Amino acid sequence: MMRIIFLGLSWFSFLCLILSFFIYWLNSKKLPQQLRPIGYILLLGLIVEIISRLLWFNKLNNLPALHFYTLGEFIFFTLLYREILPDIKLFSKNFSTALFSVSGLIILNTLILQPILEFNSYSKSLVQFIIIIYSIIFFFTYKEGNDLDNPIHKFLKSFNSGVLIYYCGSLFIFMFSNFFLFDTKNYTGLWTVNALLNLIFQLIILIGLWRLAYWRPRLYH
Amino acid sequence: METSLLASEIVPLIAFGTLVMVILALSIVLLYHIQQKKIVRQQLTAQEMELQYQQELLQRNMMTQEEERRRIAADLHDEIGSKLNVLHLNLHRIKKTPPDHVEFMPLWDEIGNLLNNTIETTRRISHELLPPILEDMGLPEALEELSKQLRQSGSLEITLECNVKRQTLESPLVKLNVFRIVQELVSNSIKHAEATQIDIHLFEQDDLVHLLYRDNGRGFDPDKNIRSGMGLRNLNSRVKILEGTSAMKSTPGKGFEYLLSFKQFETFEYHKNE
Repeated sequence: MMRIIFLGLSWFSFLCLILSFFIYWLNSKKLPQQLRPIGYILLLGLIVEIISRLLWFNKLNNLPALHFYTLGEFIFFTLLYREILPDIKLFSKNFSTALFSVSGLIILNTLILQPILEFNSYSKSLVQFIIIIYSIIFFFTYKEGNDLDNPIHKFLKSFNSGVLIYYCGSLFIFMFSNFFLFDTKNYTGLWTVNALLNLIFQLIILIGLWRLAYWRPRLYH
Repeated sequence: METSLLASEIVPLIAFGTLVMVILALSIVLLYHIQQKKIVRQQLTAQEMELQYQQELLQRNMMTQEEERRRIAADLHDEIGSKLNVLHLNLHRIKKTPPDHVEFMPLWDEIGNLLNNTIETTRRISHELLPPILEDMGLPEALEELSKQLRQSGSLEITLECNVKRQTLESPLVKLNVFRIVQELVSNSIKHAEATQIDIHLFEQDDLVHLLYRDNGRGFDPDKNIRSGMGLRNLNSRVKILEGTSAMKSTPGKGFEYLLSFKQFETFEYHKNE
């Protein structure tokens, strides 16, 4: 039963991801440059989902896709938060060094500590922790000035809320993901929670992008 | 086997940790959105207040303009108009009077006196509108002139001290508004406070220009009278134009004190366009 729920949720998330990607792709010229990394995040997510599903259908280990996703996830989320929080020193000083160092650690983890056919729980947890930090920094420092109804500000705020909820919720699930191999039955429940959180996150992105691209505020007379 | 056992024990812990993290994240998100709503409400209130203030300011300016127009109209009608009418009548009379007639010379003198009087009145009205000394000489001289006129008018003692560099008071914006503020304060001291002594002190301190004004009049209770006074509202409008701050102190029977502070204006704004 839990497995069916899990599959339903993950397919629904996948559908949301496809829709979000197409909304972004169709409106990419209309949307601000600032949001370009979100397009990359969606593209990366879509590619990784397709590959991992193909591997799964062919009864092959799909964990290499997670290793690849973790690296891309770190790079694109870092680029996104640098775009939306340009005043933060973390993003202005030694940005490239920090970006390459963490990316190097993620690759080294795959090469040395947790091979490509295992869960990369160390690097995944590190990336999740970094993204949680970005999200908290956003809440404390994001400046929207006096333009209270700006749809981009609204989108970024809801996107960031989704990021914080999803990454906080899935932090421990990925951190101890290697226990899945020893207790598949119980861990499926946790993956279902993760799928639910992911669905919420994907819905936030989908609704946000749809509003940003197609929704126009009503004019009152 | 051991790892499997450990795993079955650790899964509930992970579930609990996940729940705690989700609750924590939701709390942060919720707090942020509540805070945002509060900020939006505050900004809206501030905007509404600013709008209301601007409307009041506009209304007050229009009322002041209307009052000024009424006063000028009354001055023109009562003083210049009536004198010109008398002149017109006298000119008709002199036209009909032969030059060798006994009434001719007194009539001629009367016309001359009336003309002088009308010129004098015109000058007075125009000076009241904008003292030429303010434009030609500057604020200290205009204030000195105002003090002189008030001293001559009778029972009023005025001391004026100006310890400000001349270039500080060169800006037309500063000159006119400070002069009008002093005029308004003096007018209040005479009309409402029945003051006999007024001290005006202009000085510089901490990169700011200050105007300290004191009288020994009846004083008033600021909490009761301050909102109703149209003159004081006009003062506040001028303070706002100067981007300054003002404070007043008064107690019934103990006089009145007013302190205006504003930053030093640069005078380039008028030369820049040339």
